[in-house]
Amino acid sequence: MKSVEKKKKEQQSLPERFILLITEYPVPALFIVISILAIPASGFSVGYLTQELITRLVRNSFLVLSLIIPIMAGMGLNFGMTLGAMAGQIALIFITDWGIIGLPGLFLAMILSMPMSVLFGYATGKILNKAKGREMVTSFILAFFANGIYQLIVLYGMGSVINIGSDALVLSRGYGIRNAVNLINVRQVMDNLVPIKLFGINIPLATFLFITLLCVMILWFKKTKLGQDMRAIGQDMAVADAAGIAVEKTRIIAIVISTVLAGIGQIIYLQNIGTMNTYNSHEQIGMFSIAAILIGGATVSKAKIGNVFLGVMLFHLMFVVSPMAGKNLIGSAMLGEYFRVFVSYGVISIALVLHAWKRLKEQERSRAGLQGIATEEARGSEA
Amino acid sequence: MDMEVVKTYIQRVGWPRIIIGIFLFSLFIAAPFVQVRVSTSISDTLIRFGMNGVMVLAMVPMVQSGCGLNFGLPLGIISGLLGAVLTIELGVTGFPAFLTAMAITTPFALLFGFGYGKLLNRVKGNEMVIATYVGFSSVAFMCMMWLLMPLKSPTMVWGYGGEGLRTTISTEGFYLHVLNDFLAVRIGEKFFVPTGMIIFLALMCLMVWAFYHTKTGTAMTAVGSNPDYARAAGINVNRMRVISVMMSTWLGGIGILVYQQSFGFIQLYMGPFFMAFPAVAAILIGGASVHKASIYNVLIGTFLFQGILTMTPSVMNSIINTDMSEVIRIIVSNGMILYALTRVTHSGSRG
Amino acid sequence: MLLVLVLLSVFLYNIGKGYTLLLDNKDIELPGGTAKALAMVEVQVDNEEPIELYPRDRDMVLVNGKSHTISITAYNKSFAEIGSYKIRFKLREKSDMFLLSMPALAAEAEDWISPFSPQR
Repeated sequence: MKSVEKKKKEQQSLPERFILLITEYPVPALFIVISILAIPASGFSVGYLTQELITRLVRNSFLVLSLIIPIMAGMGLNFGMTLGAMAGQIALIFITDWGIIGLPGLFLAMILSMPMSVLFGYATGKILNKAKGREMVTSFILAFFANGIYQLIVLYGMGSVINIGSDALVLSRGYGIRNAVNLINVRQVMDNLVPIKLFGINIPLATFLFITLLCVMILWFKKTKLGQDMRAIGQDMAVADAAGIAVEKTRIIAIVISTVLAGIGQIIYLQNIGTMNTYNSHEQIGMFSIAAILIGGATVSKAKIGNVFLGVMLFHLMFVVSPMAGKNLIGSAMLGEYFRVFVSYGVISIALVLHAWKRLKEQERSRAGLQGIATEEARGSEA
Repeated sequence: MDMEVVKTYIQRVGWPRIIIGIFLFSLFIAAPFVQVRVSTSISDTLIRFGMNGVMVLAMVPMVQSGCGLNFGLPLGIISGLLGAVLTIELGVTGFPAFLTAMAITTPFALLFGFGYGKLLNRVKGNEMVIATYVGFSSVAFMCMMWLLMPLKSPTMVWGYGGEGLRTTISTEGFYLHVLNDFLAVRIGEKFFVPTGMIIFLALMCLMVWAFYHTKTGTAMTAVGSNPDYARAAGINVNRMRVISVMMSTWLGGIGILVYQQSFGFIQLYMGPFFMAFPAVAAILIGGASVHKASIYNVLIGTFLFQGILTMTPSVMNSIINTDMSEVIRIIVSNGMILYALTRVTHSGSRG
Repeated sequence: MLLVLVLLSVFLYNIGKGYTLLLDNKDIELPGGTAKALAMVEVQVDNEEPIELYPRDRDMVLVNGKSHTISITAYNKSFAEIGSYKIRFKLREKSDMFLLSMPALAAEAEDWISPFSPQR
């Protein structure tokens, strides 16, 4: 009899634990469910999906990792990572124009992107400091605004005011960069550095190691004084300020780091794809990266490295699978594509709502705790 | 002494608005010198003013009740699209078609607004970001719906037995220009005042103005400017907020109908995706802030904003021989919103 | 830190920059006379595939960086080897393309290599 009771207890805790897990991480749970339904519907083979996932994981992880630090510093989702991506793209335009090939070209682009990223990040940080409490909307709009400036530089400045030697890059009217820039010079240069093939699947080991290096650096950073300061600011700005932390400056540093990482990440992303859509590549990247990290279980105020990888995998899984699933289930691939767009935005909405809801509840609870009985009485007379 | 007056005036009006006003003015001055007809320009500006006015007006209720700028305007626009699409399905034409569309839009708008308002009440302090994504998600959701809707009207459905609605549907033969041409003033070939549309806009503004002088209206303003005082005075804050969201959504629906009858096309799918932003930018240019908006802001802002959008392509293209209008539009509208978001408010309320 | 990055950038620029080297086997005017095209010459730049050039031939190689080696083996009409030559060279001028004249190189002339810009 004892063994039966014991068995019951064990069986109880597993479903209980499972339910707890789902309520803690509703977004990834929802996503896993959708994926489980959609994968067989799409008709893709496991091999194909695994290859796609690995490629996309390696392609996007660096970018998504750049979002961790601002979240840690309490600044929410850094839509301003788009500005970093723009810096990376401008750098790539230059090295392509100068004809710098291969790995040196790639690293040169990364180095070139840094001063621009620092500048953009600094501006972003300054602006966000003026909009405390509204960081996310502000960085969201800032990304659009920056896009206008980017176009001013790339579509009008380059070729006219900024000298571009290579004619292949410039539009036929004489100035402005073409819509698609062929990155043949640096195409897959990092990916193919240490090519490994496991069970018939290509694994870009070098890029993978580079990403791991970043993860290690992030983990180390969290332990440094600067990292701890940022976490303190993330917990409570007023308390951090009282403790003597230079809140404004540290916040700017957080954004600068994030922007620089985004620039490098965008370069890695583009070297994998091999072509740069001069005016579009950076626009989607913010949305996709943020959706990915949220899907991985991060929230506006908490993000771990595990969230990044889980999120990128789930997001891109859905990305790859939706059009075909839509086609096979309902007969329209367009529907699948719209479904994928809907889910991306919907996930961000849900994550944002849940987070805001939770935060409000916590605030109410602590307020009630502080005021105690007085609140109850006051509430009674109000109603 | 005079400098003081000028200084306070500038502080009140705000530098960006002054710069934009001067910019627009100079464009008008420059126009005749670059072979751009002033009469056409004014007509175009007036038309765009009327087209967009109601959607900008939709910003007012939510700002006044403290819900911030309505980045979720697409939700209201969608209710308007549903009204339009169903009206065409019913085959109504002419002015009655417009009224029918308004009538069908209304229940959808109120329904959507109700849900949206309830949602916003749960996320006080974060309304604007969530509004944006609710707007985006609903547009994406409707993308799927437009494909699946079992509507039959040949003007709307893809040809050759296709499934789902077309991306753009012409309003010609239905309610194209019904407001524009009503009582229109035409002087010569180039000058055209879309009187009907402007009268409609004036009517809407009057309605909103009148509303804010009722008891509910004043209660709503109180909720926005000082929620604690409002609560103490016995006003149900949450209810007021939901009502403001419903109003805003409804105005958004009506707004897109006005826009469509002038523009000539109903844009489905991703059309409404970014439509909140010009409206937000316009009202901010008009002097509104995240916490305070008046009808005055709506009218001035829409005029200035649409003026720039109309004049820049024609004038600047003639001067520099380049079409920089798109880039200028992006910089001006987003820059304006950015400026408003970074203003430190006196009441120190959250956004 | 900044200095390191700047130096690194310059380094990367130099080793990474790509150049197009045009290998020419044509008659070329030199200060001392005319160097005639070789009956056949086999050219190898760095570790690339050796290229065979007949008279009036022109071929091209893409290389990275500024320092290279070139080795040529000249043959006469009966395909007997008449000489071979190997030197190291640096691309000094600012240009994306250079013209290398094999006859001039075989004659050990000074200006066997010069910057080249394609006529449009």
